Amino acid sequence: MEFSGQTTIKAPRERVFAFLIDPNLVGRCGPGVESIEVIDDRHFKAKAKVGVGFISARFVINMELAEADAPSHAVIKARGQAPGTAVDATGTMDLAPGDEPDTTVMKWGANVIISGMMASVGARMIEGTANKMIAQTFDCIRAKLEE
Amino acid sequence: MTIDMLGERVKRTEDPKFITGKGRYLDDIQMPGMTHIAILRSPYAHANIRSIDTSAAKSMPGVIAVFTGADIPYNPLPMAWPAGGVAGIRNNINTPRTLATDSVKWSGEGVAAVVAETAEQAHDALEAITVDWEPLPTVVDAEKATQPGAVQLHENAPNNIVFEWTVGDKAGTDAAVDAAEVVVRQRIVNQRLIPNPMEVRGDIGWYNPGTDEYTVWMSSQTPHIQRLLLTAFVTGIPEHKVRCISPDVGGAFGTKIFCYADMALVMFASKAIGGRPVKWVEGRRESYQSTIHGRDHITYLEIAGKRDGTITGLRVKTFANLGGRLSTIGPGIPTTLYGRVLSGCYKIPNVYCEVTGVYTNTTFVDAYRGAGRPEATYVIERAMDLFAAEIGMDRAELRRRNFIAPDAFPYDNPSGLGTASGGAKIYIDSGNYEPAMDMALAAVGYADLAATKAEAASRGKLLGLGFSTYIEVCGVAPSKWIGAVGEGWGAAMWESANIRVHLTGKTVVTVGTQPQGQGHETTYAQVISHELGIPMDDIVIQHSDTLGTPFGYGSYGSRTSSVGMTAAIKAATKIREKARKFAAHMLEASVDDIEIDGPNYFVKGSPDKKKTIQEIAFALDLGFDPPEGMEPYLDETAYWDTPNCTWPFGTHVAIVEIDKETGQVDLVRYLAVDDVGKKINPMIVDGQLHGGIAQGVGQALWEGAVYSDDGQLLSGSMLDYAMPRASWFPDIELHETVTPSPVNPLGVKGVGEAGAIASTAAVSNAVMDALAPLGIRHLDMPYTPQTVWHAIQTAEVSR
Repeated sequence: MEFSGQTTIKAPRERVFAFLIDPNLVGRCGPGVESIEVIDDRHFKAKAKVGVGFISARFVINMELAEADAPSHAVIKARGQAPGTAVDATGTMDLAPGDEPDTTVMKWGANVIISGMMASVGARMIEGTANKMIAQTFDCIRAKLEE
Repeated sequence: MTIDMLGERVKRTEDPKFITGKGRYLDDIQMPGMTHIAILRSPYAHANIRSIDTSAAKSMPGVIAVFTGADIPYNPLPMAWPAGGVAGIRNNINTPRTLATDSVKWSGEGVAAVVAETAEQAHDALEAITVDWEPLPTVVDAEKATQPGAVQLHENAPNNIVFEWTVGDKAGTDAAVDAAEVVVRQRIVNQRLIPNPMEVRGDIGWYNPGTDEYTVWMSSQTPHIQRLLLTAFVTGIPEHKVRCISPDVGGAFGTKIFCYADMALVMFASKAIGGRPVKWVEGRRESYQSTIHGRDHITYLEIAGKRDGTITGLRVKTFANLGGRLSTIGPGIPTTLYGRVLSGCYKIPNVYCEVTGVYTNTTFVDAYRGAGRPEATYVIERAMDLFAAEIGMDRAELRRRNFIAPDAFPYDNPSGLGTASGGAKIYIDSGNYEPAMDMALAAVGYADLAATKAEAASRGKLLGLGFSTYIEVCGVAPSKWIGAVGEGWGAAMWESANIRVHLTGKTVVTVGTQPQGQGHETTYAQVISHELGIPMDDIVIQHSDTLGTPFGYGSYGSRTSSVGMTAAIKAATKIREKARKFAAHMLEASVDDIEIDGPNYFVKGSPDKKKTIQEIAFALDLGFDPPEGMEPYLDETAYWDTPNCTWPFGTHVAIVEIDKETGQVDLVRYLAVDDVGKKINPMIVDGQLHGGIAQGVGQALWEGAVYSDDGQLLSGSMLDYAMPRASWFPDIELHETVTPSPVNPLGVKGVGEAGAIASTAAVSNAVMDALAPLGIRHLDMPYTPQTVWHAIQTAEVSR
């Protein structure tokens, strides 16, 4: 599944970038995240509870900051497992200065592959749910940066 | 006096227990110390396994043991029926292991297992197993999988090809197609189906450390075959150390013929934990991913002939999707049971068929009710309708002109259906196709179809009538045919029965076949009661346990009545002959002078001075006074290898109405004329037809297994897989012609599959008939409202 969008954040680009590559900050915006464990400056592990329709599962997700070109471009790769389900995702964020001073336009894209039980039982609901979760994640990032 | 119940609509004697919840299915079995095993299944459709960490799972509450594939020394599961037919045909075989070791080829393949005190604890502990996966690209479409550049599943199967099998005369068929006045071509898809027996599969393994023996309870159609396969091919455990038992089985439809990894797993696990029994029962969702699927063909058909309606050639190319690894007889289904029956009930001089068996990242595919013959019937019956439309001839008239004539039997078709070992042949032995079609079309009012359509049109409905004139190959099978080297499954397929008439006259019949809901306990008793004159109530039919029943090949291929019951009749004949000899001894008469009437044995002309079979059994079983050379007891075993298959046929007619605005297809009438020979119990025959028809209609209108491009089964539960419901059906009208099969004394042909073989094509042809006025020539199934509505919209835009 491919998702993409764009949002304008009232914060300077350097601050947005710093937020995005800090697992403790960006991680808290992930859907259903319960804990974050930083392994090194490029790798961290999250635990998250995610529900699709009547199915919910607790995922252990290994994340990697795969690309980080300050202050404009970052790619995060994630591979998560839950009982009978696996998720593989790549999130791409491109930051450009906004029209207003101290604003940033974030273009984001996400490629999400869900395998196993959630894919086979939740197929009809999964795209809508994923879309909603991703939107919530980026709303959260904007809100925290604008606090 | 015993009442002869053969041919009567006897209520099924096994039903009271089933409908009052007193059946004993696999999951009803509880044993002291029993443990439960759950299987971790791959979420990925294609991945390498880098490592599996089971340490956390081992310390979970209630967990007794955790296994991965590396722990289990067994061989991969057997391949019992590679594609044959052409000398030296190569099969690139990959079968599953008990648990996958290096890689997984479909979403649902087992990679680890937990044994725990309760099923819940076992499932909970699965969550603590971590697999380090390396996901790989996937392919799910059989045609795409063979193309250059496609993802490769197995090193030994270039282009994902399992086999390339051909049958028939290529040069002759090419010439016939090239020279034909008319050639109709169509790509058709016979979509993948998920079988849905009411009871899912399960096994219990118990290793007895005291005797070094195993007992395996399994929800299976074939306990004797499974004992053979699990011992000689998979585990290496000696056959006499294993007992297999099928308890009550709640439906199967083919899915329970096969040797599955879980059977070996429960054997291994029970021994590994010191001999406690280990139970595994799949969930419905697990069943959808790890028990076999059916059908899944992509076919290019070409039918050639003259404008006068003479069909001169049939050329077919099929891609058969067999899944990520092969199930037990997966390659046999789209080859022998499909390619060799493509010409159906028609005399087509030139037939050529190529089948490519293909690996894809999907669940394995094997026999599902009808097994190859529904796919073949779909091809030929769609082809006949397409050809009739092309030349503007009535569909019935086209069929009439091409039927194999009633005086043409015995008949062998040009795709070599009858090819058997050592140059031997079998033949389609009987048939009379036109009367069955005429009866069906008269009963349904075919002559008034235009008026029926006009009436529906006045209500805003598109009405269509379709039919299929099918034959099938049942009563499988002569061993020389089914076991033919390079063609069949390399084993025999006779059947067995033992009859013991005990001291009290009560009679125990043990058989090698195995019921899954067909009512064998009733029908075998009807037959034996008829043969021996013993009341049905005094006869018990025992089955499905390798201890205490003679070896048999099980129930599938509509074979129990034709093959299994003939073995039982043969055993009954031996009982009668021995009883006759002993009656002669008791009556001080010559054996040749003893006549038999039901249970009574008497000297010719003196029926009053008789001995009943019960009296004979009592005296002979005690054995106080046997004649010279006669062993005590009425106890006889017989084996029967049928000289031929049986060849049921008939015509099924469907009428559908389509709502133009919504695309909704309603089946408004269904009528079938079946010739299944003589009937042991017409009520049970009707039930078999109802069920089979419902399954076939399900394929045409609703059912379909859908995979995403990355190999995820999107129709992974009954929320998304559209099983038919009773309320979606009209009353099914059943008629018959009766042409007794000449190959067995009962004259029966078998009926387990007929409904599923005939009905899909009938409904498909009906939907296409309804849509024909819009210029729609062919749509692939299932005819969901979305598919039909879209086709109507597209047709109307382009007009």
